[in-house]
This record gives sequence, C-alpha cells and structure tokens, in this order.
Amino acid sequence: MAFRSERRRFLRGMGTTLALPLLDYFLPRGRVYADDSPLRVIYLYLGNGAQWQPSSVGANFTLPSALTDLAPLVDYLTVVSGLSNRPAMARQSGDHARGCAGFLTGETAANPGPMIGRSIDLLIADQIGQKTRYSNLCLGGEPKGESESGYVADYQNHISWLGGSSPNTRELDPVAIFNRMFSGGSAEQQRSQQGQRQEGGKSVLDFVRAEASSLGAVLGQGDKSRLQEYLQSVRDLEVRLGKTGAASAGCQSLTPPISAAPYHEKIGLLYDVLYHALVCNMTNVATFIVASETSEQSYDLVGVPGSHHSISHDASEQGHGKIARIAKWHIARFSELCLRLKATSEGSGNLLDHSILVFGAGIGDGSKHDHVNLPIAVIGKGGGAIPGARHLRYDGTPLCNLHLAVASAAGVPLRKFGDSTGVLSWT
Amino acid sequence: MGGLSIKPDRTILLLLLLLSIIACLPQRREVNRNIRDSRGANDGDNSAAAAEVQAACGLTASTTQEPALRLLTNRQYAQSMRKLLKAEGDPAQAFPSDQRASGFDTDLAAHALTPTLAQAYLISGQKLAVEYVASGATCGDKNYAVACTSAAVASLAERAYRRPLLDGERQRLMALPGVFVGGGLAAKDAYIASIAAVLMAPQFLYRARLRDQPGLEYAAQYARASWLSYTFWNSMPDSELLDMARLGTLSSNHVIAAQLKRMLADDRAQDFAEAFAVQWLGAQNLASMPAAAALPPAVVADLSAEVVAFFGEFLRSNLNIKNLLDARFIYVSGVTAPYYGLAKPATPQLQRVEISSEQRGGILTQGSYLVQTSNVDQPSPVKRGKWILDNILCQPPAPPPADQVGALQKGDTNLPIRLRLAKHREAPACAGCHALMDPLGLAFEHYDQAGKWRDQDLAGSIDASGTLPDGSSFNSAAQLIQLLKADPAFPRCVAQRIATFTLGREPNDKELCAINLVADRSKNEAYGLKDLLVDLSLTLQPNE
Repeated sequence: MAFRSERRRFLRGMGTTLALPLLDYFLPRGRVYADDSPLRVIYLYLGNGAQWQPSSVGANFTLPSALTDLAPLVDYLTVVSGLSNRPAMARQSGDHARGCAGFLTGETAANPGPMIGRSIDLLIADQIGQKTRYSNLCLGGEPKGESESGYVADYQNHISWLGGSSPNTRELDPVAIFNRMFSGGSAEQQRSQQGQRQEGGKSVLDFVRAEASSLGAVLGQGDKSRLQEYLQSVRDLEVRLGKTGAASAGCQSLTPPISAAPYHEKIGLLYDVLYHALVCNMTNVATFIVASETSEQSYDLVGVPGSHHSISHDASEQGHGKIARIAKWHIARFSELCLRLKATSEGSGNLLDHSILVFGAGIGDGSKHDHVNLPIAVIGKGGGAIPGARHLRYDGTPLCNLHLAVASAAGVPLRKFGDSTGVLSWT
Repeated sequence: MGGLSIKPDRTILLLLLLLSIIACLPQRREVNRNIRDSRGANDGDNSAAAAEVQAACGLTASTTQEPALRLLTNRQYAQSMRKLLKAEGDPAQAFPSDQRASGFDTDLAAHALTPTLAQAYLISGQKLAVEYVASGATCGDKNYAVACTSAAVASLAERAYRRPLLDGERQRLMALPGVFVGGGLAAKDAYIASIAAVLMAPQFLYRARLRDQPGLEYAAQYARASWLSYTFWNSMPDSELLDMARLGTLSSNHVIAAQLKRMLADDRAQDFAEAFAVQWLGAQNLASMPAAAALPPAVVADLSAEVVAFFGEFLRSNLNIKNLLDARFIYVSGVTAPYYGLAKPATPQLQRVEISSEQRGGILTQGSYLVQTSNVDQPSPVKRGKWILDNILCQPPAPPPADQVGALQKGDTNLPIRLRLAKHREAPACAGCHALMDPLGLAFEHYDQAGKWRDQDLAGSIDASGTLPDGSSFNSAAQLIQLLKADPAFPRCVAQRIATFTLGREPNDKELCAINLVADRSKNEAYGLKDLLVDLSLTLQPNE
C-alpha cells in the first residue's frame, strides 16, 4: 500500500495525465454474471448531505420518507447504512470539498489542489468501458459551486477524477450531449451515418497521430506532457469510434431534448439522456452529480424554499425534515430512471438485473459536516451478485469496501482501493 | 547682472527640495518609477520601464516557464474557425463547457484535452469541413482533383498552424487527399476528410513553441505572434504579425510594444475584455445563481452584459483601473435602467449613461456582484465581504476552523443580520477574518438579494457603517468604495488577475514583484488599462 501510493505521487509529480498502469491493482478478471449482457455501473451523488437510515436491518425494513419512491423497486434495492469516508475527515474545514472529491477516490483532497487519485468509476471504465463507444459518461446538474476553505472549487463539483490534477469533463447541457450522441435522424439512420463518419474519423486520427509524433521531435523547451495527453485522448477516441454495439429495444424511438431548462427540469432531461445512453449501449459506466456540494438551489416545488446549503446547516428536526424532502425529490427522479431500466428487457431479464446504480452522498449529517453514516441506496442486481431487498448496516466500515464490492460485481476485482479493509458483502 | 546672481540660488533651492523628497522615498527604484510616471502614459518608453522592473525583480527569460504546448480555449477555437473558415454561429457551442470555477479558462492545468473534448473537436471539425467545402470558396476545381485539393489542404494548414509548414508536414498534407481516395473515399469526401484532419491536428489545436529549423527560422517570433493575438484577440495572428515573424522583426520590445498598442486599439481586443471580465467578475454564470431566479432572464442577461461593456469601456478609452470602483457612468439597457431606478433610455440596447447618484457607479454597485453574493432570499454580507477580499484585494481570508463552519446558522435566525454577524467576533477562532469580511459586506446592506436599492430591510432601518481593522471608518458603501480605491492593493489585485489570466497560471514570486511594480503606476490618473496591459505583457514576457 505504501509503495503504491508513493508510486502514485511519483506519477503525479511527472505531471502525467495518462491512466495509471493498473496491472498490479488487478487480480485475474472474471465475470460474475451468468448471461452475456454487459454490466452497467452508475454513481449518482447528492451534495450537502442527507440521512435515510431505515430503523430495522435485514430483509424486512420500512422505507424512510426520503426513499418511499423506491417502493416499486424494493426487490432491486439494497440500502447500505453506516459507511464512513475516513480520508475525507480532517481537523480543518473544507468538508464539502473533501467529501465530494473523496467519495469515489477514497483519497484526501490535496489543499488547495486539485490533486487526487483516479476515481473508482474510471478504474471500472478502464476495464469494462472499452466495450462501448463512450468509456464513460460524466454528467453534472449545476455549472459551478463555490470554492471552500482554500480548496479549489473543482472538488465540490466533481466526483469523477482522472487522477492527478484533472477532474473528468462534466457535461451539463442535455441538448449538447444528446446531439453529440445521436445527431439527427432515426436510430437506424444514425447508425449508418455514424458508420460512415467513423471510417472518415479513423483515417483522420491516423493522420493526426503521425503529426503529433513529428511535432514532438521539433518542440522547444518546456513541459511536453500535453503531447502525451493528446495521444492518449486520440487513442481513447479511436476505441470509441470502433464501437457501435447492438441497441436495446428502447433505443428505437429517441426524443431529443429541446432546450436546456431551469435546474429542476434539467435534472430530468439529464436522466433522460443517461437512460438513452444506457439503452443504446453508448456507455456502461456513468457518474451524475445531481447537486454540487454547497449547492444553493431552492426547492420551492416541494415546499422547501431557500438555499439548499443553508438549509443543510439547520440542525433542528425541522431542518432535517427539509433535507429529507429535498433528498426525496432527487430519489423520485432517480427512481424514474430505474423504473425505465427495469421496463427494458435484456437477455434473460431486464436492464436492472445487469446494473448497479449507487445513489449516495459524501456527507451524512449536513449540519455536522460529517463523513460517517453516509446515506447509500444501491439499485440493481449486478448480474446476480446482489440479492437486493435488504437493509445492510456496516457501522464504521470504509465506503471504499463498497467500491470494492461494486467493482468486483462488475468483473473488475480490485485488491485494495483507498482506505478499504475488505470487500463489502451484499448480504 | 543682478538677475544672474539670483538664478543659481533658485536652482539650489529646487535641488534641495528634490533631494528631500528622494530621502523620504524608500528605494531608488521607486524614485525612478515616479519620475517615469510623471511623464505620463504615452511616453513611448514602455520597453525601458519593462527592463527596469525585470531587473528590480530578477525576472529573466529563464524564470518564466512557458509550456511547450498550450491548448486553445473553446473561445479561441471558435474565433479561429471564424477567421480560418469564415464559420458562422458558435463552432464551439456543443463543446463540454464546464467552466472551471477555480480560475480562468486559460488555466494550463485545468484546460486539459480529455477524450470527451477530443471527440467534440473531431465532430466539430468534420461538420465545419463539410460546410467549408459546401460554401464553394475553396478548391476551384469542381471535380476536386487531388492535384487541386492537395495544394488547398496545405495552404489551409499553413494558415491553421500559424507558421510556415515544415517540409515533412507539407509532404504529408499534400499526400493526404490521395491517401483518403486510396482508402475508398470519393474525391470530394477525401477533401472534406483532409480538412477535418487539419482541424484536429495538434499543430492547430495547440499553440506550440518550436525550435528553429530549416524552413522555420524565427520559430520564437511565430510563437510570439500567436501569443499576442490569442491573448488579446482570442484569435489567430493577422498578416501583419505573421509578416513580422517571417522577416524576423517581431523581436525588440519597441516593436512588440507598438504591436501591442495597435492590437489593443483594434475592436478585436474587446474579445479579451469580455473573456477576462466575465471570469474575473464572475458574470458568466449569473443566471445560475440562487438569487437570480427571482429576476426576469432578460434582466440577468443584461446585468451580465453590463460587466463586459463596462470593462470594455476601460480598455477602449484607456481609463485608469482604479475607476473601476467608482466610475461616474453605467451601462444600462431598456430592461436594466428601471432595475437601477434610472429613466428608460430611448433605445433598448445596452448603452452608456452618466450618473450622479452615489447609489450606483463601479463594479461593487453592479447587479452582477450584488446578485452573485446573495442567498436566494437575502443578501449575504459574509459572501459580499469575502468576494471583495478575494477579487478586489486578492487577500483571500483563511478558511474557517472545521468545528465553526456554519456555526452561525444554528443561532437565532430572528436577530437582525448585524447582530447575528456580531456573534462571529465573540468566537476568537472566527473574529480575525470576520472582523474584516463582515463590515465590508454589511456596507452593501442597502442592496437587496436582487441587487436593488432598499431604504429598509425586514428588521427596519439599515446601518451601512463600519470600521476596518486599520481604524478607518465609513458610513456608506460609497465611502467604503473610496477607501478601497485608495488602497494600492486594488490596482495590484487587478493586475494580478490579468496576469493570471494571460499566463494561464498563478504568477511566481518574481513575477508577482514585477506585477505589483507595474500596477503601482496606476497612481498616475493618466495611466490607463491599455498602458497597464502593454507594460504587463512586456514585463512578463522577457525576451530571450
């Protein structure tokens, strides 16, 4: 462990933006799931914290108010309580920054940063993302949050990190994403057009790769790592262009979003785009930060006007009730996606049978800014790895143990991640 | 005869007076600077002044760390396409436009080429190539014979790369349409694909610092031509800059200073003003701010545009940056004039209006600042104070101790804001920073969360007075603004933000020393924003 983290630091010091060579992170790969359907891994993140711990543990539990919209999905639901994100804790302020940046990295955000390790979604995408055009999709609901306590603001807006100083590129505009993925015409037309474009695209990339090599030879003094970054991106793009993938039935009729709407409508549109990306096999891995840390959106539509962030600081019962209503609104949007995935048949079951959707927060009680007892709701059977219909309680267990369990179910068995102490059991 | 006997006495008196002034000044360097300042802004001696500051701060070509490659920003990509291909609309519109809140879009570390962005470049390049060829303004041969398209591709690349092509590059480019035809593409499609390839090439997407080679004798000067044009026009260098690089004359600071002045006098420099001002003053995401939701979208859009127009005026008219805080003019439109309580102008578009009221004037009384530092239902004096420390004085406060974060929100929310904030100073851990932040922010309590003037808040009459840690006191926002204007930290801060924007990174200590010395020239009222930009550029780009 000590050796590994040193090596990470060394690579960062080189200013490299290449993916870490991951060989020693991996055991031999194996598929957990029974049929050939690919597995999808989606992480959704809600800023400013929430609490939704059911009172009883095991198979028979009552859904807390924030989660009631998941009732029709209870067979696919695993509520995991009590997990901690220790790397996010520190004897200084900046809990929003560390909680968010540490959620999928299991590392302590460097101050002022940005400097943090590669996140679990991308480690999984490095392996299973190669099967689709987009190795991953990275969505965000809000353009920016403020910087906090000397940390860069990026920490509060990004859960997906390339490793080093770069967060993954978030996409915020549902119209732009849709147009890029499905530019015009019926699904069939698109596939044929894309086929032609891909041929042209590949030849273009052959040319620019040669140009990049020749450029490297004539560059003057100065940092040249950008050239590596260019070559890496071109390589990744080539992989994307090579994938078309058979689309599920739900991919036949696509309705493009018309405009980038106000926040609350836009969340719905982004879920829509995410759904289309999944059913059209555009990607198998995605992250979606539905509300940034220190988000100040107002939730008048569920009777909670005022700044989300300010409300999260209200330690009273009334304050916690308001936060539960905000969480409930987001869980309801999330449940709509899950229900659509459940209604999409695939292989011997439906898309949810072959998915793991983790909806959670990096802060437990917003009024305490803590990173213990994090709210986590997992939907999906993970190809048979997750029985579902359970409330699991793991008081004090590292959040990273959950990351190991998700990665393992996705056929990416990591030995160690962040502060993990083992693989969390789904039963 | 008698007259002659008096003259030497007068000279001696003047000399004695001058010596006594010099004795009061801390350093010889300062004297030189003051003498230079007194000569006014247009003394044409920018290069000597730059050399002087560089020497004083130990700034040499080896202390700057210009990267070998610098990726175009989305804005620069779009402007380049307009110039190169006469592209219409916003060619970068579909690009991932995730503004990094940590700084500027020019930030070298932040603006990285991710696969998502690479794909956006590829799709955009293909689309633009199709449109360019369809516009017919390209290869004269309707059959797109390879002989014709080869030459056209090489010629386009030469403009796209902003320098002469190297031999190998020319050969590969000339061969490209043939390669595509050989791969099965029709002649026209091969031409389109070749153009798309040029638009995806690293030589176009990155500004590169090459070594001198055969066929490229003045590589550093071509890099300089691009540096100048992308910094101040966000676009490709024009023929004048490229011709100078070709002839090797874009080398002396006198010449560079003259070019800088030419470029800043050009309308294209307004693009610099816009790119910098919206990011420095946080106006680009105004619509997504919580308190903006209560305002009509047209008002929010024009409050954003006001920031650009206001800063643009400082560049166009070479105004002194200190007046950014208290200008006696304002930019309003048909929808923002009523917002500011001003008479509706005769025409609806954004326009300059002279003002007399103390309630408005300068960036701290603009809707953009006041709205973005408010919560959804009330202004936040803490945010307003912190914003001033961050963006006006470049003295960001230390982070609050972990156990104190948000402590105030738990308190009695029925107390008037001033009394609630007073609790900050009861906690020793909070007092240090809040003693500075809170009075700054409370001075603006006459502006509600929408930025509109109010005589009273919900708790009654408003007290906008305060005392700063140095003992100076004020009774109103207007008086506080005058205190800020008199603080040398303000022009230094503006210069630091400009330098961070143009360098694409935080300045190092030597650069900071130079930036501050240049900014101090703003003490002279005649020293305008253009002068500052010329001097900063010359000083921070030491000639090798």
